[in-house]
Amino acid sequence: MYYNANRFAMLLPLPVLMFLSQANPAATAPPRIDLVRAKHVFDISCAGCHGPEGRGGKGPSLAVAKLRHAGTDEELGQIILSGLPGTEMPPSWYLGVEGVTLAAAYVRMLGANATPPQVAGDVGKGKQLFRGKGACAGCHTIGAEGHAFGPDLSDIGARRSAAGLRESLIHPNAEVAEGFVPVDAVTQRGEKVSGIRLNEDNFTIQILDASGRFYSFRKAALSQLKEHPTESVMPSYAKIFSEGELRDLVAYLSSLRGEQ
Amino acid sequence: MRFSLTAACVAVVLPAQVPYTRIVNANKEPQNWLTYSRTYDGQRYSPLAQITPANVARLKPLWTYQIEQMDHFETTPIAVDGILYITEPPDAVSAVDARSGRRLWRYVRPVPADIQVCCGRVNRGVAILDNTVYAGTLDAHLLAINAGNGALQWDIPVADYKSGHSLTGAPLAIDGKVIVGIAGGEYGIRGFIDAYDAKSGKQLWRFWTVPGSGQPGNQTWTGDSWTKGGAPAWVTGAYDPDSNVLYWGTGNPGPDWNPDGRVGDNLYSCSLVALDANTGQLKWHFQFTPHDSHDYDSTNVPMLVNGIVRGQPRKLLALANRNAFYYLLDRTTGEFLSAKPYAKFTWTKGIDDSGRPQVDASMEPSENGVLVWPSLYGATNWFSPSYSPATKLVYISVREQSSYFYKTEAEYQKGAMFTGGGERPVGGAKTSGAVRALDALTGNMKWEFKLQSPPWSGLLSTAGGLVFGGSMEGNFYALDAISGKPLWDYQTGAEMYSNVMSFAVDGQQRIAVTSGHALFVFGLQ
Repeated sequence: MYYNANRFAMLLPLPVLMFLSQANPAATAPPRIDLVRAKHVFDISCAGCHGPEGRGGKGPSLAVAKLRHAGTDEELGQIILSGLPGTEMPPSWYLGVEGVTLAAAYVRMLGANATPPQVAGDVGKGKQLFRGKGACAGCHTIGAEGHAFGPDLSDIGARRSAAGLRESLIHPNAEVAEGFVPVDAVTQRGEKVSGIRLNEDNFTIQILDASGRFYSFRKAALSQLKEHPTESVMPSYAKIFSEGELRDLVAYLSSLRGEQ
Repeated sequence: MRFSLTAACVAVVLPAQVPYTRIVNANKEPQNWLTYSRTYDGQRYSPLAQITPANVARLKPLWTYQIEQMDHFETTPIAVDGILYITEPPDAVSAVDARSGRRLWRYVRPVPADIQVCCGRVNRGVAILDNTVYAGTLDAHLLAINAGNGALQWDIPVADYKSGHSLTGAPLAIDGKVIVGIAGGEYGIRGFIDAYDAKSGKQLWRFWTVPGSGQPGNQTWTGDSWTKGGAPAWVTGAYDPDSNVLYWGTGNPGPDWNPDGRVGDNLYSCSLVALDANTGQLKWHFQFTPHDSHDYDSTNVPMLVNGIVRGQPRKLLALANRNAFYYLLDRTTGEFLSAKPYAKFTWTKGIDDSGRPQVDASMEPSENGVLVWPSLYGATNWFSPSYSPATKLVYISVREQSSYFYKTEAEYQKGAMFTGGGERPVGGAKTSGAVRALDALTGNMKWEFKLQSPPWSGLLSTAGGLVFGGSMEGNFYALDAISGKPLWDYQTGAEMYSNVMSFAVDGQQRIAVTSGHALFVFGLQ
């Protein structure tokens, strides 16, 4: 057996959809779910990225009232089965009908019990730090504001837990997102280009430098190409901000939920 | 205006007439591609030599044929005298003008809404014999279609799709018979390989890949586990016309990742079976991965080659197994000759002198997950390897990836997944791929061309001295067959789940490959 991604959208069996509907905590019928088994499925298949309580880690928090990509139970089931193309969400087709049903029901339960995250810190002060002392808008966008070099943060509060955000600010090298790996390239004419890797295949690479200039190279036309997957372009803010300032900035970032 | 008969005839083609003798003698007509791997020996090698390392830089796309569904497009076109015969997912068969890419006919057979297929609504191609095109369907029917106009000649059920059976591989047409292998190893089916009369569709024989009660090999299963033991046969095998023997790979035992209820070797799962093509009787078998617990299958295309091994000229069978080892067997006797790793592995400590793996018990799937190389998707998969008689190298599309394997309870329910676990990719792990060229007789690696990520594209080698393949980043590329040096590439714009082939029209060599939801045809300009 082998697996092809992006296929289950058309294959989700009807019983799953019906069961998911029944399992939706918002529905009037009580959920017919063995929560012990559901938690077990969640723990081995989901918690590694979404956190042991589903409150986010490398993957977004699932303990939210509304999931961005899974408004309906059908969408949620399909995402669990086939993953989300363009993201690191992998397919979990091997869970089968029952496993997907249990995982989806558990995610819905997390959402039903979700409470707004209580993040210590002053959101207003954090916003000032973002624009001022941190100079964050020099690389990040929020809505229409900022410079598009680093990741967009418009809904970062919905995608990352407060602890995860704090970790990224203090240890930015701990995890460098796929589309933001720093690269240094030297052309055969001696021109040096440094920036982030927007994309790459076997024969070409696409680079964005900090000024916003875009480059596309044939790899064969480069005399040197170094990628730094463990070195973020972003500096550590551990010594730039005080502990209180870090709290305020994290509070502000946590408040960003894509609702502007 | 006076009608010009000469001009009018240029584009006239007659419906295919492909007697068995034409397929046996496929090397006499290199412009055509008459069976899944071009020749019965499974080599996926083209004798066409017009496109070479010296001129491949001039290779350009000539036309594109797009399908109308979002499913992966994995077909290998069959090329007969200027017409390409393809399957389109989920269940259509089409004839396409090889010169222009314009469709000539299409037969569509709607897919039932409740089909159960583990791994996508895919199909890998048709077979042709005389004037008939043969294709399997996702609801496990075998179709015979008139090659001239796409009219259905017969449609027979091979198995009950509601219990998880399906047909995804290209049938193999031999003298008067059509051979198919069943898919559905994740649903607790009992696997088989069937032969049907090419004219009538009548079943001629069935070889059960899991022996029944009282049959030799049944003792390698406990209790009634054999009744849902899997061992599907979903990738097209090879055939030796001289000996009239079929060589076919089989898949995983069921349930995939929880082997507790099927103690024993679980014959004939993860094996190569050699069958008398007249009767379906087993001549010999070789099991690569006894008592498999990682879903490694052995559904890889066998390549029939000849050579001197251990001082004797032998008829050989070479197989790059999903379990990361390259095997050489004597195809007359089934004798194990050698196994050499071609990719990273941790599931076994090695292969002993009899060909049996020394399985590492700490690598068995567990409730909490165990990190194992290669991943569920294997060091290679269904996509074809290629053997070049010119270089005597085997070319393999290699996946370098590990994953966590889990074991859970497995309870059989008709039509439901019966896997007993699963796998989880290693978050953030760097994965990679490669094309590796091995000496066919020793398994020693001669060169490697690294790929950005693990591929899902098979390879084609040509007498022109090239190897063609595809990447998940959309690169379709040509390598020097001797050195592995990249010589040409084209960005197709989609992930490539494909098998490359070559044909010629009007004396001009073409290279064809699917990518995304399109078939691309390239030629020199």
